[in-house]
Amino acid sequence: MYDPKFEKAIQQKMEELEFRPAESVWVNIEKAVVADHRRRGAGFFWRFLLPGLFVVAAAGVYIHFSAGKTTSRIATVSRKATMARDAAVQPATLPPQTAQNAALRGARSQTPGIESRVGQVVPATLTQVATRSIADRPATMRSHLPAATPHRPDLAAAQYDPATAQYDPASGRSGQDAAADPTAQGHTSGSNNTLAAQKAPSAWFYRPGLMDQRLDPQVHGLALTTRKNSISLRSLAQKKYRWEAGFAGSAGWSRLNRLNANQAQAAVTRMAASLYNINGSSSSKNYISETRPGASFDGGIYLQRQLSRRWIVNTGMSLHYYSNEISIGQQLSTYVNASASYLTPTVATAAQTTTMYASGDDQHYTNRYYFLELPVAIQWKVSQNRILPFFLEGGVSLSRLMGADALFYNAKTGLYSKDGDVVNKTQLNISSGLLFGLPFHGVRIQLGPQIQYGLTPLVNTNGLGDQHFLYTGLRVVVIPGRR
Amino acid sequence: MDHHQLVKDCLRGDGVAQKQLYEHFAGAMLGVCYRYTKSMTDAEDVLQEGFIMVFKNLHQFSFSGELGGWIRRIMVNTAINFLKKHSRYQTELLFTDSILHPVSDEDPEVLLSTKELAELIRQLPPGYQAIFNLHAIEGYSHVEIGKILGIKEGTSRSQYARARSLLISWISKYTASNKNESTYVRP
Repeated sequence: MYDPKFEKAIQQKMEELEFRPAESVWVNIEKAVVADHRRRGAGFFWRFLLPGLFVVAAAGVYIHFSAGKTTSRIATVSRKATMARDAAVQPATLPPQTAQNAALRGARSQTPGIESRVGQVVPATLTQVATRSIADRPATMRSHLPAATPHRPDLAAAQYDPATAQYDPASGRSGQDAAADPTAQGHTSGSNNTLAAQKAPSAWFYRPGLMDQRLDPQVHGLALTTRKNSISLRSLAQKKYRWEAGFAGSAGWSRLNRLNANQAQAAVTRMAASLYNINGSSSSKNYISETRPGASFDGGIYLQRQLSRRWIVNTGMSLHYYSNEISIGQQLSTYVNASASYLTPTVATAAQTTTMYASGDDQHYTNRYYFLELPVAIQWKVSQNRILPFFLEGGVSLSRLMGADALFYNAKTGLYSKDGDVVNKTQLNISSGLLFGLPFHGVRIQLGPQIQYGLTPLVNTNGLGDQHFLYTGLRVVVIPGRR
Repeated sequence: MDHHQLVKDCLRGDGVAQKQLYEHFAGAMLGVCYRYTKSMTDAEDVLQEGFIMVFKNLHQFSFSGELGGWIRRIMVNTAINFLKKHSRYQTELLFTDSILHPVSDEDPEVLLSTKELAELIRQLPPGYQAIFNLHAIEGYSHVEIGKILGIKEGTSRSQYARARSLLISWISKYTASNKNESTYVRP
């Protein structure tokens, strides 16, 4: 068995072992860490994008359908209002029992289907009712009071004495309280009733809290219903627009304008002995490439709110893919740190320097860009034709570059490289479109051409001219639920 | 140096703090990597890869132990992975008993300098070298070494004993040659 003294001695010696690493080690580490940080940022975004879109969509659908329910509820209450009013009016000509039955019928005989249908038809009538002040109808209403409570005249008469401002203890309220409440005048009957009604024209049963519920549940119920009705009717009188959620997408072509060829040529000439000549690429074709249009599409969440009969504002969030094609020369041999070549592929990728391509037309390359867009637009309903309405749309959008696989021309070297630092990652765009509303079962669809132009230059090109995105395509908006 | 604050700054993506952390530990960690590899280039590769791992996983550092110890463990793991990945190390990491070295229980006095001793450790066959480093210097048990290298505990024990004997014999030779005022003799 050996003594660990040897191991301890070795340990102590090795603790002191230190070397100074080469400078390139830190350079490569820094590159890898920065690249990883960028990847993580993008990963973070992508990880939350889909759930985010889902949540927005779910919220939109919820808002949409819950708003529908609200409309239905209002319709129900409106219907009840009509029924209740009828029931309240009936006692003048009908026996009390019939009035009670009518009120109960009004309260319980509603079925959802009928409510919806009634709700659509009733508003015009109800608006008139709502706009007509309750005070305009006191004679009718008040005249029904004794009729509505003929079986308890004693209670009605015992409520209030205007001369003493005293309440009958049976009502459970003090005289002062009652006096302080002018609506208490409504609780009169017989001669007092008539006098009080003349003094205070407000309808008595719009203050149900003043009446003991024991007096007449039927009248109390009616009063409550009618009070609700007055609120609902008011809300119906003002037409309210709400936010609606849907989906929007488009597909088409995107293009970038070409950089200033003369200035680019001058830059290339200045770099006469540039790398691509040494590497044997096509030196006679040292022009800057044309950019050809590429496929482009977008899709995302769409939210809209009607402002008036003709104006609609919309917003949302979408992911927009742009592409364009360029011609480039051969790939240049790139510098890779010697030590990086021994590393695992992942680390080696991060440690490598940027891949470069010479100018030329040896091969085609598709530049791809992925933007997250937040558009805001306003629509004008040009034609209100029910069958084929059409809308003019104009708006702006703010977009953020989330990822790109693109080669950018460097005026200083005359080479193409994947240099993300030259890109303006935040873009401001303007857009316009003409959309036709298409009838479809249960959904509203808008379809039409769209054009979008990037106000912000895509690349900082050092005086070679600005490159702006131009997108043309066909746009479709789908909003579930019909108006 | 306040390692706590330094780590926090690094986690915020502060480049200066990251460089500071690297400069603080790089020298010693390169020493660790050097012991496991056969060349300084390989050692720098391991160092680079190890520090990338450190910065990627810095959020996992719990501040319960020494930052240096945590980084050192990462370096050792990275070095072992490096040995497993590269063919020039793999052949001798098979831990066959074909090359047998006599086992010695001697406990000689280590009079060599740090760098001389490190150089001798690096001359050990990779299998011996890894096990010797892990057990004698890092303090891993043979069970742990067995798990790390994917070998049996007994294999680790026997390999270590042979590595130790070999190293002791080399140290003895080297010390003797130094006494005779001769130059460094490769074992």
